[in-house]
Amino acid sequence: MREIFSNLADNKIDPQSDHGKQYIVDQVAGFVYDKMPYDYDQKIAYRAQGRSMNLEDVMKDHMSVCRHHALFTQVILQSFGITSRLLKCTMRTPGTSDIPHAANLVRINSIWHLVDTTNPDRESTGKITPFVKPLMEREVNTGKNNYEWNITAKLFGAISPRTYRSRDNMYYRIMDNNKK
Amino acid sequence: MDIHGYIPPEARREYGVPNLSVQERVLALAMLNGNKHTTTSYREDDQNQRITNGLENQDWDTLVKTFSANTKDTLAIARYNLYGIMTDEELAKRRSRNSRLGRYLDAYASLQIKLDRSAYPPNDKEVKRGVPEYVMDGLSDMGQDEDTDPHNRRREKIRVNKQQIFDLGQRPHARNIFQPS
Repeated sequence: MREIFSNLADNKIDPQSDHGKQYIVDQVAGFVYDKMPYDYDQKIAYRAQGRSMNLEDVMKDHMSVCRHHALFTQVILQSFGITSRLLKCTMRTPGTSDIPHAANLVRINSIWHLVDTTNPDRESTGKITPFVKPLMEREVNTGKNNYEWNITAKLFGAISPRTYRSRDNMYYRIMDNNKK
Repeated sequence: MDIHGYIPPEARREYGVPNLSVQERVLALAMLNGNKHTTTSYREDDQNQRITNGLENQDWDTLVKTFSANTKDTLAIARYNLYGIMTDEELAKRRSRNSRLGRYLDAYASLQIKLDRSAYPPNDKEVKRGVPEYVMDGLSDMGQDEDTDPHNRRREKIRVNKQQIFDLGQRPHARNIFQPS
């Protein structure tokens, strides 16, 4: 967070401006992609056995999944004052069925965007760019409504459609971080 | 209340208020009053030490209520104060801007956690369904499984520890792969 603030100050970017918000979203997406690689081996399911694992261990042993990515993104973006929501959803790509997924909904320039820090766009050159896609809805409330978004992604330069379907079947409680 | 150096621990613990640093108190007062310029409204004593007003202990509960009722806007006031430091020409001239910004950024992070814990107290007995608009410190994402017993769960839980998340940003920064070329 300090690094992003320092960069904003050095480049004289107002963090409340749309340019500033876009900058912050790109920085956070870059951090998640670079430092929280996806746990394709599902190591965490075996290690955690239904319990919580602390973030230090998750990151050290590369056990992040989309839920970690979305929560991390949400905490940082809301700390910067960017209107952002967790998105619990399913995602489908050609040839696959719906799989449970987590991403974020972020409001920039008065437009809601779907931000998927787990699955960035990939150019034909291999360059990675953040997956930040505008949505048509002026208001989004996944607690009241169900949404289906068909969005075009880039996979090594080729067009790759994705379907995201919102869901609200998330459960949570509030724990005491002072207790170990 | 003038904030000028050391505050004895017994004074900090009045009224059940968590320990607050000097910078946390300044930001807290800004949030309570909705003042965007508290951090840059300092005056100087005869030894050129900057003096800024800070939150009184007895006002903590009022701040918690304000934060609980409107978390986003209350945090926004603190960030306006950070932005005020970023753009303060006087601080920039003295080359003290970055160190001051660093101290206040740390205070912004730690104050947010303290306010979260007061406004959204832990309750491990109450499992809620739905997607929260604001993710508070201590939130345990249980996924699609409401069973709290690890033996019955299909997937792990994820506990949000904001201190750990904010600390990540203090380490050598990730390669900036999204920087425009």
